Amino acid sequence: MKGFLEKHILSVTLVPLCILFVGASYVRFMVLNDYLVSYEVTCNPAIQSCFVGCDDEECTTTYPFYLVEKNASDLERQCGKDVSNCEKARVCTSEDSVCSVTICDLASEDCYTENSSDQTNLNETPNSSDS
Amino acid sequence: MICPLYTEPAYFFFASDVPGLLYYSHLPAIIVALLVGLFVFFKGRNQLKNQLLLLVCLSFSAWAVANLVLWTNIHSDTLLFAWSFLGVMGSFISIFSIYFIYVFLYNKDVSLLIKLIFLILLTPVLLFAHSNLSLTGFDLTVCDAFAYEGTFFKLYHTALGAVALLWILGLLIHAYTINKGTEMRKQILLMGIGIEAFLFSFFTFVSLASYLATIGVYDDSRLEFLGLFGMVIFTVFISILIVKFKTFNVGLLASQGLVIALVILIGSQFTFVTSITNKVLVGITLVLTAAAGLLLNRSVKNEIEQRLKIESLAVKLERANSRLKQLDKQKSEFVSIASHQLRSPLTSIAGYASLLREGNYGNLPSKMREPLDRIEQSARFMAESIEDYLNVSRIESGNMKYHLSDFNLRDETEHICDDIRPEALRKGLVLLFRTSMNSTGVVNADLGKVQQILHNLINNALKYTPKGSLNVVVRDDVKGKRLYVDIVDTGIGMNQDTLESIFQKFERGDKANTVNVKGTGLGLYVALKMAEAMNGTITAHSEGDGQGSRFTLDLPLVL
Repeated sequence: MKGFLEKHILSVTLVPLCILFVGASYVRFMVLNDYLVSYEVTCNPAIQSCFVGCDDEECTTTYPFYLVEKNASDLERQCGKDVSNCEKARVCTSEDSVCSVTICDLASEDCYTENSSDQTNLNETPNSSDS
Repeated sequence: MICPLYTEPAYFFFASDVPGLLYYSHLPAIIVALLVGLFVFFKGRNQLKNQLLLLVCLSFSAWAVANLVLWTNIHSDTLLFAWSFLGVMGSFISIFSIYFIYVFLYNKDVSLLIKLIFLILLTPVLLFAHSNLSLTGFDLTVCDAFAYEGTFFKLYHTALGAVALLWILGLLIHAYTINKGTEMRKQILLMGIGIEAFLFSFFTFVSLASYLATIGVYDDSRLEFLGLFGMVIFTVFISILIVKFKTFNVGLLASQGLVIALVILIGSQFTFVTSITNKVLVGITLVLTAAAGLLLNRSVKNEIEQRLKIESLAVKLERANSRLKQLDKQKSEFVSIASHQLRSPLTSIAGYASLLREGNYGNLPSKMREPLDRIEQSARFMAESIEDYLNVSRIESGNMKYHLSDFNLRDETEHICDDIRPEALRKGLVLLFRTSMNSTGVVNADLGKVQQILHNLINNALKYTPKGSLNVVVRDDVKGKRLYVDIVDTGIGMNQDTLESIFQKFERGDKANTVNVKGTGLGLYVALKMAEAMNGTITAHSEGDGQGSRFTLDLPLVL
């Protein structure tokens, strides 16, 4: 038994650890969706500070946005798989266990201004909350 | 969650909005790694180094597949699940490479302590790869998780790559030093270049691309594609080792390796060819190359199998020949011992028969003379036969002794003719002695052996000549420094077949039994061997059956 363990110690320990890793990773990411997701939300520079986004690599056209970060499981519950046309994805709600909205800091960052091209008019005003 | 800015891939892997080099760098590398790993494993699945090479190849392939998923898929859950494999597989590549190189170089398993070190190094990766230490979230906008990777975790499994590079380098240098002047050095060199090139390119480009993307300096992750070509380089070196040195106990023909490489190379063009025409052309080229390669390999394999069979037969033949020689020697030794045991009593029998016949033990009735004559003749013939056997035995065992001295062969031949002439006359034959000399006729040889040879040749001529004459001629060739004794008879002669075999052991002329029933068939064999041992030879000539014979003893002349 001792000889067997000495010879196969790696396989004896690594195989269960591998199974454990695959199982845990699968459960966390695929089943529970226990991770954060961040995404850009279109923003109205007239009423809030927006980041500058580029539509192409040369940044010939830009757009304003702010960042939202939520728990993936909360977001999926609110919007399904696609956040692009989901109103709840744009703001933090009481249903969110973790949520943050990041807007551009005018004091330290180059934010979107009226002079920025391809400005998008938006009427939405995001609620900002951390819970 | 899906990345909203990207399109869903077809069949999980095939997306349209990915860099052109993606499939060209990933698919051939995965296929080559799996092919080499599985081929080596199935050719010697009980060997630890073969198993470990498979583990390295599997870890690499798993890493490459996970990486391909990251580039093509748009589901955050799938992507993060695949992402969590990168660190684990990268760590496996590092540790299994060290383990593999150790077993390859020293041909033994690592100690328990080293196994525990491997385990200690791998356990944190496996325990925390799924946790927040490894990944906390996902950026849906750029569809990656670089910003959410745990710095410490990433640093740890990247450092394992650096540890592997240095550890393996140390092992290679040590093994290269202790294997001075051996064939293993070349293998160490090839394996060393292969594995170090693989690990260096893999960890450098992958880590560099990842690091630069994380810090936002260079967010083009295509740099990591270059890291995958390291595996192709490694498999090329593995193939060279297999073809040239039969490493991993695998026999692979260079032509097989070449055909496989060609097929993979041509097949990999599918990863970047877009037009239908080009795809069809690549497909036709691939099929033709594969078919031609198959035929070529079959032909080469057949030729090699035949060559190996002939080599194997040659080895067996050599062994059988050696065994036969050994048995022949043992037989000669046996004959020698047995003959010695027989010769003494036979001499006594012949001697006492002679004494009785000569009346040394009183007068015997006349009717007892004939039986006594027969006893004496038979005993003497038997003694002569035994002497022949003994001579053969001595010649074949290399125990025949020669005492060389200068003597006049012309005179010796004349004396022998004089001795035998009465016997010839009794048979009604004329025995003539003539010379044709320009020298004194001195040779350097063993006098006793030369006398034995001449007695044998002249007595043979006497035995096989029912009527006519015997001519013994001594002649010389001063320029060529040779002296010849021709024994020419008018006897039964020999045909071509007999001439070719007359000097072999136990060979007698076809007509021998019609004129002389007694004879062992060893006399000429012994005579020739003795002549050859004295730098001479004996040749036989006959025009055919009934045409008489000529035997010539040729010895070096001393001037």
